[in-house]
Amino acid sequence: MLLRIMKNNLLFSIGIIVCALWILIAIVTVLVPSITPYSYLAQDLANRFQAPSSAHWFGTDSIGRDVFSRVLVGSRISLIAGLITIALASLMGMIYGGIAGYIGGLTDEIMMRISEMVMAFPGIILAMTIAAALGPSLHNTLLAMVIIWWPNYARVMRSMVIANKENEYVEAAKSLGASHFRIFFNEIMPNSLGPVLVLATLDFGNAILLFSGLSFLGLGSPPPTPEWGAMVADGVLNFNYWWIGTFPGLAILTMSVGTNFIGDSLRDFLDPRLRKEI
Amino acid sequence: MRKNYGILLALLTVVLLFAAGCGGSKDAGTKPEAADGTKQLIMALDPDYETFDPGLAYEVYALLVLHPVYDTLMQFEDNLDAPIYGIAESHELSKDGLSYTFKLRKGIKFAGGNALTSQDVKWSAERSMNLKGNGAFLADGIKSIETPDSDTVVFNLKGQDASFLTKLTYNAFGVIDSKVAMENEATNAVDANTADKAKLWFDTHSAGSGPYVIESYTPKVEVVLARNKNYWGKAPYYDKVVLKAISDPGTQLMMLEKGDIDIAFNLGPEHVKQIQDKPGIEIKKAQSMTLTFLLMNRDPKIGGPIANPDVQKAIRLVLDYQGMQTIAGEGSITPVAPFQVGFLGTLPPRDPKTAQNIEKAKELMKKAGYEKGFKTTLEVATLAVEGMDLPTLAQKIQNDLLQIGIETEIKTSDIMVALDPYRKGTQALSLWYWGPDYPDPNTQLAFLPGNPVGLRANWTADMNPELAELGKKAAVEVDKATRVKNLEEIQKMMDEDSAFDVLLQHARHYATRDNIQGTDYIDLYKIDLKDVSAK
Repeated sequence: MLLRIMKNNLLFSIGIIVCALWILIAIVTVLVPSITPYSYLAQDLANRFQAPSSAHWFGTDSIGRDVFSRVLVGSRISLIAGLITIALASLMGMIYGGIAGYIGGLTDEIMMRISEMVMAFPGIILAMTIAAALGPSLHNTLLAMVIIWWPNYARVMRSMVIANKENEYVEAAKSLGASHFRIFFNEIMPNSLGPVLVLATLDFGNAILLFSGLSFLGLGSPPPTPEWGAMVADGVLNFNYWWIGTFPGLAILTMSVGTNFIGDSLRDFLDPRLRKEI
Repeated sequence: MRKNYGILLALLTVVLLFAAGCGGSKDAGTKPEAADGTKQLIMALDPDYETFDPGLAYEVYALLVLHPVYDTLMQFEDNLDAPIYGIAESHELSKDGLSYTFKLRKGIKFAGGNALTSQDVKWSAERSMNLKGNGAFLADGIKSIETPDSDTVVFNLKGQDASFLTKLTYNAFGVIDSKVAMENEATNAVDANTADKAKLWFDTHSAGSGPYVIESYTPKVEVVLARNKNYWGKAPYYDKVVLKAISDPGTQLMMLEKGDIDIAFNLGPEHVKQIQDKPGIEIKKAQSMTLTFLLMNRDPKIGGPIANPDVQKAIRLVLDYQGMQTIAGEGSITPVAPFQVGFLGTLPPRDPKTAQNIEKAKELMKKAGYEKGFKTTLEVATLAVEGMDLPTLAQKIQNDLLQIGIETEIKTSDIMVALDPYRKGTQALSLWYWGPDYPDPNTQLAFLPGNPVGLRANWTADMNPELAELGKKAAVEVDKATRVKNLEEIQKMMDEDSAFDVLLQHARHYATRDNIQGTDYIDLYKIDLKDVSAK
């Protein structure tokens, strides 16, 4: 199926190739750390601010580290950040929204108003506040991102649950004497997952982008972690040496655009009204 | 013939006007006058100020703003020279060296119109003392202040103090209009540290007699100084001075090139290289008195293994000072102890090629019982010191410390957040910078055990009583030869045992548009804003 879609959709193919490449790089650099031309932490003050060359493909930064190696190693952090944020946010949102939708009534009202309170804040500002208050570290930044992200999933899940709980098979399960727990997890959940999964794929690129933004502002992992966003910030500090910021910037661009291509194409594919165009 | 000249002049004027009109904002730097005819100086810097209350401000850039706003009895014209008179006309020192009598200049008025009297001098100094702010220790040696008449003020000291006149140049002795201040809930009472509510007022207003007044202050954005129309001295050239908070040197550089600002104050050596041949820009270089140092806490409850003096010495030996000087740029040096090269009695700086001794550092770690090393946190504020990014240096230190097995996790935070734990002495290992409060080596005695900065590392006097005792002697010694001897001895002792490792004494790199003058570097004030003018 994947191949069939790829054949008919250029953007989707580009997305798949780019993302597969990044995932491959991330896995390989974790398994075989020596594959990068230099250690991503190795400093060489005699060779600081070297322009891209055959020795240093992406040049070197202010303390002589190889930018190419750092960009490669940085891929794992961005991927993990995106993955964890989306996984936790969607899990939390699904349970929260599911409960609200299933119980309904006053509980639903209160729960959804709470989630709207979170949504009412501008996302990046709220994430910055949380991350800054807890102190800059990878955990806290991810926590902040999950906190601003889950309401999206809660809303989608709630509407799906409300629509599904009136279905005959739910009535049937009820009349067989199934418990609420069983009905919720065995009957309603599986039938409400689709749109949430699509949303998750669509959001993946956005999550990577937000994470890079926060780490650009100094709210990611502490240095010397080769986070792309932080590397771009370093490039801004040393503005005269274009390569320090440009290459990690391109990495962010390719990864977030790639995942967005996949997400968009998947939505089109799963939406029956748009399916013909694929 | 004369008529021809007239036509030529008219033509030239038209051409010039046209050119200026076309230039637009691009050429702002070459036209000091704003559209409405106000002469305006715009300076970009990476400021650290927390407050403009002269009784509380203590930060490196505080005097840049406060010197042109609050007059002091004594002031500096050139770096490190003996202080000259500010609003004092003359002074006498009693035979026992304990009482200084100052005559004030006559006819000085505050910006608000009130006359400046000796009462205001006394009130301001007492307020600073009782506020117990970070700069209050400058007034520690004062026993009492008397005002026999409105033009005379007498400072009675507890003991002799060789640097007393120099201390008077500091903003803690800036003369405040006491009437205006008291209207805004300021007090000089003994309980001023709790009763005085004027800090917020002082942040956005001023009550001084200097050439400028604080017109507005937007934290992290800008400070605007406006001309004091009642100023008693020579009026400054500019009507307004805008100090823009722009922490990024790259941005400062771009704005200077475009002419949006007149002075870019926090350039690194790398930036200066880029503008060497650009027209319209003048590059300035000076030896700065700013130090970057490593604080290593002596309290085992806070520092853990870091608190061990042998570990601290090992850290001093394992660091690669040559590499750090490369990062800090041309002109930077590494003093032996927290005493700047340029001050009386300072030892020659370390030779960066031989200062590193990894073998000896490893031995010391073994002696301390941490042969296998340990893990700790290195705290650092996210800002640039003299154009050098502090977190970048932290990564270099992290790398060097690995050689003796010390694994550090870098913790970055905003300067506003980081200052508090630093001053309370709750950081185990942290990277800081320091600028002297008054240009005299005595200001550096603060780093000694039991003194204010020493206590930030919980380095108490009983941990090195000999050094603490020598420090007390040095602080009151007036004889020059004995001073030098004491100071040299202190530095040698601090090379052996110290809670601080001085990494760098920076060079200052900055640049101005080439159509302004009077921007020479004075370490205390950075730039004396009242002296800046268009060429």
